[in-house]
Amino acid sequence: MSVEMPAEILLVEDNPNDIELAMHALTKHKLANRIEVVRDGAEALDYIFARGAYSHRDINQIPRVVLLDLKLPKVDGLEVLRQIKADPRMRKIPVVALTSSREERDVTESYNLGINSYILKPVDFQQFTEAVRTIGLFWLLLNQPPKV
Amino acid sequence: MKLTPRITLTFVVYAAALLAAVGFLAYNSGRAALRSATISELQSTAIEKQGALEAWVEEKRQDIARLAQDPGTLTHAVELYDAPSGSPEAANAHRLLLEEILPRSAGGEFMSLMVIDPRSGQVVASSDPTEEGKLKEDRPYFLQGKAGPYVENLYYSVALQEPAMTSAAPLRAPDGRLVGVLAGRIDLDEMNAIISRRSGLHESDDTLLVSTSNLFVTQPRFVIDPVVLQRGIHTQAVERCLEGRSGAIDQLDYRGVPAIAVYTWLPERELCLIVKMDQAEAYAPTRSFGRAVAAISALALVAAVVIAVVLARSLTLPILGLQAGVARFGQGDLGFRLPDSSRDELGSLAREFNARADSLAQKDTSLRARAAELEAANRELEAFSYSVSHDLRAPLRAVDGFSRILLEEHAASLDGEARRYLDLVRDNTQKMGHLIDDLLAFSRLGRQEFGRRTVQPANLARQALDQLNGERVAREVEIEIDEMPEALADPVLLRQLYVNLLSNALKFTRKRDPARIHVGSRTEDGKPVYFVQDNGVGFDMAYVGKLFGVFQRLHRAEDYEGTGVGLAIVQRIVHRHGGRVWAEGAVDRGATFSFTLPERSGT
Repeated sequence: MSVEMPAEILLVEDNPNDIELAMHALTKHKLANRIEVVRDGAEALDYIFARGAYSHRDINQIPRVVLLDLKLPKVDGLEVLRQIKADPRMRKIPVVALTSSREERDVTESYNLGINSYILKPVDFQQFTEAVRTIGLFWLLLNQPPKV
Repeated sequence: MKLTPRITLTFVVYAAALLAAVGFLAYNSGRAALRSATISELQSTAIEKQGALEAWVEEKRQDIARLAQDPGTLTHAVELYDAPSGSPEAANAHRLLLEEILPRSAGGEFMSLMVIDPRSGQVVASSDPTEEGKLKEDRPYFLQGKAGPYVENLYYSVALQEPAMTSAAPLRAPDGRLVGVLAGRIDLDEMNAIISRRSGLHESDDTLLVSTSNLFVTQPRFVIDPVVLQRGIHTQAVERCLEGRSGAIDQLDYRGVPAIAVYTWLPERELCLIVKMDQAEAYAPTRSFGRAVAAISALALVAAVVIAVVLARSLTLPILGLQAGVARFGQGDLGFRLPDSSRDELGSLAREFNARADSLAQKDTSLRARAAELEAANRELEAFSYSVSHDLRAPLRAVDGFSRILLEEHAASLDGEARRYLDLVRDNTQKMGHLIDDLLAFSRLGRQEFGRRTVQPANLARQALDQLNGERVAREVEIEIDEMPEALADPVLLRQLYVNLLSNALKFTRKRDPARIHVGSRTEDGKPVYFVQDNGVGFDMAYVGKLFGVFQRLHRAEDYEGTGVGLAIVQRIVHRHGGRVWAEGAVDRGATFSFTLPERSGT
């Protein structure tokens, strides 16, 4: 058990309010210290593929789940999703979309690209656990080792 | 019929008729020329034969006259005349006379010669002993011969049982006494030879003499049996000739073969002279001429066909070009222009067309530009509404999220009033959220895929009602859904339309007991009109114009919740189908929303 525990949830979100609300929900359920937040699509890709500012990161430390806002600066959420699902190493990472509306074209496109689940903003923990359960990570995320 | 074959056919038919007429005329005039040439040839032959015949007869007359003046013959004739019958002087004179005339007959100028006593008409001496003693007192040659040299025309001699011709001349003593008539039978073969002597110009020419009793006088070439004065001939030429006429005729000859005949009446000889020739030979050149005309006509016809095709194509090619060009232009190739180099009517037509095409293309270009502008504006508008609804939602989420955290986690440090205000904050953010959702739904309508098919409106209304089940919990509502004529519509949109209309109806009948909603159709002008009717609070018809506007509301929000988008969506759905929607109602008397859809048939 090292202090440098790898993040198990990667939150990709640009809106500070949404970040705070998501963090609040996750913190309330004692997951805050396992969350890495990136602010745009480019940064998300850098983190996942351990390059740029994250080149020091061990690429083998793969996040358990990615919470991905679809509307992002620089590289948008759908493009991030496309690149994750196109990479054989990263393809297995469950990606949960964070959307502010059920926009038909976003939903269709996301499913085509292999999205695992949807959570409507603001992040409701109830919804989050439901999504996690459907993708089979519930036990893993909730039954974590005791905090240091 | 297409233009090219029609022009070609017209031209060819015209050419064929022209060629046929010219060929017919040429053939006929050629035939007529041949006929007149043949006739004049035959006529000259006839004249020649007639001359030869007359010369021959004259020769025979002179022969007998000369013989009658022969001194030896005359001397013995006088002796015989003067000697008493049966006396030795008479026998001597008879012997001497025969010696004079015998060399002249049978190989001489005559076949036989005889001396007739002018007193009794008895033959007193003859080269043919059987003739002696016979009486010839009634014979024309005897009677005429007493006066001067005479040739009797052809006759049938009963005594000889054959045709005969006899010339005669008086035997006169030096003192002028008539002592006898010298008669000589003429050899008819000589005449036959004259008549049948051929010109050598033709194969089928023939000359014949016919007697007044329609009997052959000379042997025709094409008859083997002897026919002279034995067989009759009754052709038209002969009939006319025997009437004393002369001329030419195309007719069947004595064999029944078509011939051209020239007939000449010989009054002196009382004979008919026919010179004839087979039409087959006479007109033989016309056959080859006819073949030549036919061959030339055929060639000319082929040439006419070629010319016609070339001409037709030269006419129709530009027309076909025009047609193809117009078709190409019609199919959307607006840049296409017709070649307009020719200076004829087609060229001006092409120029006219090009001018129209130019203006059309110009209009099309500006129309396209306009359409592109509109499309761009529409896209911008959509992008705008999309991002507005997203971006409006973000701060709302924050307000709602933090208010909720305050209420859930800091409730203890807030008094009742603060909690009520926070509840109001959350209520309003919820409302704003609905507004944004509705706005988004409304703008989405314009972008949604649109697929029409045959639908049963009653089924869609029932599905819509199922979807609204939550809104009629614990309420007494009588809902009647009739069967309706099927319609051609997008099922998703039509269901949404019923959701909105039924939701409205449920909402505005909330204070009625029992609430009644009727979904059905009626027929107006032969077309179905679908409607949703309720017995709710209704509306003032004065405001009917505002009913279908976005965010237009006729009721206070405290009484009836809603964003004022529902009916706007209904109107938009109907309009997208090309239908019409309207509302009727009165305050507290309920409302009826009616709409039309395109009919199923004819699409």
